[in-house]
Amino acid sequence: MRSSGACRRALALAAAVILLAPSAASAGALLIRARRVYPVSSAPIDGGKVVVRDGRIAEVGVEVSVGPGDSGVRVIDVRGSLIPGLIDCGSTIGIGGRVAEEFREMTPEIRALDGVDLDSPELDRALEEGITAAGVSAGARNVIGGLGAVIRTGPRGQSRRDALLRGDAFLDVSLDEEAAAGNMNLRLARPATYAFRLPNTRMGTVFLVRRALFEVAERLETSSVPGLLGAEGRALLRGALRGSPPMRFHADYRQEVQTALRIAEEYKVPFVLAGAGEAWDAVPELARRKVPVLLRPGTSFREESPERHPHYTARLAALLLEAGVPFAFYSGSGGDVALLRSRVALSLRFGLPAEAALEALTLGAARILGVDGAAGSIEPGKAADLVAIEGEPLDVAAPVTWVMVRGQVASGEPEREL
Amino acid sequence: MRPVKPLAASLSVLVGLALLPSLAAPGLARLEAQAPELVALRVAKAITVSGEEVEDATILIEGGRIAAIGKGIEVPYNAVVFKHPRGVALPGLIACHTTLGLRVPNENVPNVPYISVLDGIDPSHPAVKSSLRDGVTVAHVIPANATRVGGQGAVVRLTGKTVAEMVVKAPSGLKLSLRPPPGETRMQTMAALRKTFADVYVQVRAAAADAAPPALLSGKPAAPPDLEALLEGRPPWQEIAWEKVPLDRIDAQARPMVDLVRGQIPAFVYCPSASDVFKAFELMDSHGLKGTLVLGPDAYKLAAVLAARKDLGPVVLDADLVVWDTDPDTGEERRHVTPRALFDAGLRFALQAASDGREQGPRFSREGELHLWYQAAQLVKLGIPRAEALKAVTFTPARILGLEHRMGSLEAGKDANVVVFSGDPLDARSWVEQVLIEGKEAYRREADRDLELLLREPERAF
Repeated sequence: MRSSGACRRALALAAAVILLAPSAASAGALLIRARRVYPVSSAPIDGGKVVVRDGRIAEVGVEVSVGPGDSGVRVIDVRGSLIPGLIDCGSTIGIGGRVAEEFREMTPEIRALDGVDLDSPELDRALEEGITAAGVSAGARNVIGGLGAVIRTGPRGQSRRDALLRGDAFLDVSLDEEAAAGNMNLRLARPATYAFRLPNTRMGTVFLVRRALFEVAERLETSSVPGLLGAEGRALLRGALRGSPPMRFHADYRQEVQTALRIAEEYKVPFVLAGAGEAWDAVPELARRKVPVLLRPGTSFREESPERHPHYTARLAALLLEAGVPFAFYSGSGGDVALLRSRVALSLRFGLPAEAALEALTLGAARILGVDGAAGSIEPGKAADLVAIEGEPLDVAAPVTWVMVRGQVASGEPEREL
Repeated sequence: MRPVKPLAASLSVLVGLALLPSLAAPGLARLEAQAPELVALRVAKAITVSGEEVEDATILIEGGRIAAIGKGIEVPYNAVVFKHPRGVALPGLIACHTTLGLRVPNENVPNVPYISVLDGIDPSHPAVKSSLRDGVTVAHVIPANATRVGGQGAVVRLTGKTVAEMVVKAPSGLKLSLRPPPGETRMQTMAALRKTFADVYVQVRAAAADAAPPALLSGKPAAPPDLEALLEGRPPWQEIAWEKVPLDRIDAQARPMVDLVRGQIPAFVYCPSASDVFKAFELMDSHGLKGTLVLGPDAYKLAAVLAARKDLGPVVLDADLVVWDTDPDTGEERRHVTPRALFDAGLRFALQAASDGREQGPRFSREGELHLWYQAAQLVKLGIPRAEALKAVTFTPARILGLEHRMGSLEAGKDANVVVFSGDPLDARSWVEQVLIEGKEAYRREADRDLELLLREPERAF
């Protein structure tokens, strides 16, 4: 395909004009040459090249079929690393105002996506730091919080259809103390909410989760017993019992992690564990049952709160890796999404290899969110969501140079070939 | 590895304790004799900060100070030798504006120049140990920013069982804050600060008048000072002949303010937003204060103004180094890198690990509250040259504290405050292997039992 003369180029151009379509294979292609390409799905490639066509990755390797001299080929040179776009597994990114629907504690039919403002500055800031996709969630305030989605963080002005990677990525289920926080009996204390909400205690929260699962598993809607859920919620939960969408149990304390494992065992339900701050000693069990874990990097990092987390939770990622538990990271709060790469980098000290950290931030996250068909690695056929970093991918001192989403530069300025 | 402590050493500690009350006066204390007399530190690389990096370096320490640093320095036979074949030595990091060690960082009364962090520092505070683990050797502890006149700070070394053992310099400065408390306007905060200084002027004048009744000198009584006029303009401090003022007659609670106005202790003026900087200038000019500005995140707006003020030394930056704002008309998101703007204007700065004097806590809201080294790495990420980024946590804070002759770089004659990292100090994979403070080992990773517990493998079966 490499054209050698101006004559052939002119001919090709003429042909393209005649056919009113870029018929040459190289036309409209983008060639990215990097000092090192991290496809993540395979080993890093020194002096690697990536060809992008129609917003998708067409080729990856040292040798590609497109050359810098080919007509219609744009070239971008990357002095440092080229990595797949980073993925945050869950936060309230883009949801302005209140996050949880407080009027009820069981809201499976609520969709986090409906609250997302795609023009929110939070998305810009995340994108600028290399986060190209993010799970959005209504958080752990409600016992069953709603349906989480996965969106692209940019470019600004993208349509909802372009932004949406997956609308039914997970169903938030809270075993966290947050679900009961502030739901006081009016006679006993001043409540934090005047909505009528059930759980007052951790036991109440667990009861409600179990009650909802029971209602669906035993098809209570056909009986005369009044149910907790509406028809849509029941349908969703019925799917979740089979793992579609997967339930995401928010559990941080040791006892919450144990409860998650117990409930899942009772109902034979697949789930993803989110939080897992004290999952320290549950690691072998999580490995045996192949439960994916989402860690919130940076929280309770230090030992000032020994009563809560007597270990460095930053060590947990390395332990999960050793045990073969699939894991990824999430920020929780929308404003923290931009900090994800740096926070994960702080886990490196505690035995997490940099390659494993990068995988958890990209392909590992994509797998857990069920978007690995479109994102998470630099492989032909996937969307060209790419990030150039001036240095090693997880070097805290290395800045993100530019970010590309679906083949379009969405942040930063790439260096074009001179 | 620790030599037997000679009797003189124990005695000097006792003497130090006996001198404790004198610490309130400005002056320098030095923790001597506890360190082994001769120490040699051998590392793969020494980043001196002041000069070239030295590969395969030996740092020879005598009496708590660096005697020599270089390659191939002969190690005396009687020296205690620490070898780090892959270690990288850096001057001990200096936290130049922190509430480290204070359980409650602020008084809830707005005007408390007389309080001192010496009475608040808890030497066994867990943050002291974790800061050592991050390579911080010296901290300037000062009340936080919630009070107008917040009290006196102290420079402390992060070793010692008592505050007396920790103190390097006290008082190190007086905290002035332009941040209004909830429910108060910025106008009121400034008015109250002006009044505070006017009150001090009135007190000083009254004391001077008592000492030398003007009737005896000139035959007529002095006119009472016009407080309203004082509040509007500058008090005529130049008319005060300080040598004739009986300082013992001035209310002890206001005395630190007098020391401030006389230039005997510096001010640390917190300016939460860029527009507060002008008010800080007014205070400094009206009352002849010396001091350092502690800036808010949006200080990028005033890079040129700050640079134009030639008498201003290095400034202290907020922990949030990048600020975003939205153009109210176009909705455009704009990113501002404060250190970049200040650096390009020729200003030098020191970093803080926590925003706005917040105490380090187990759940941090921004990364910056974690580590000083991490903040320096952020500077590199934001385009500041590496050498300058390292200075921002070593030499520049030493300059701000007036201790650059003693610390902030690895040079012969300076205190032997040395941190040995297992690799590049700005790499998240590096650990602090050893910390020496004035030649004495203050931290060693192998002996860090807490770290061992925190990293231990799970024991309980599920």
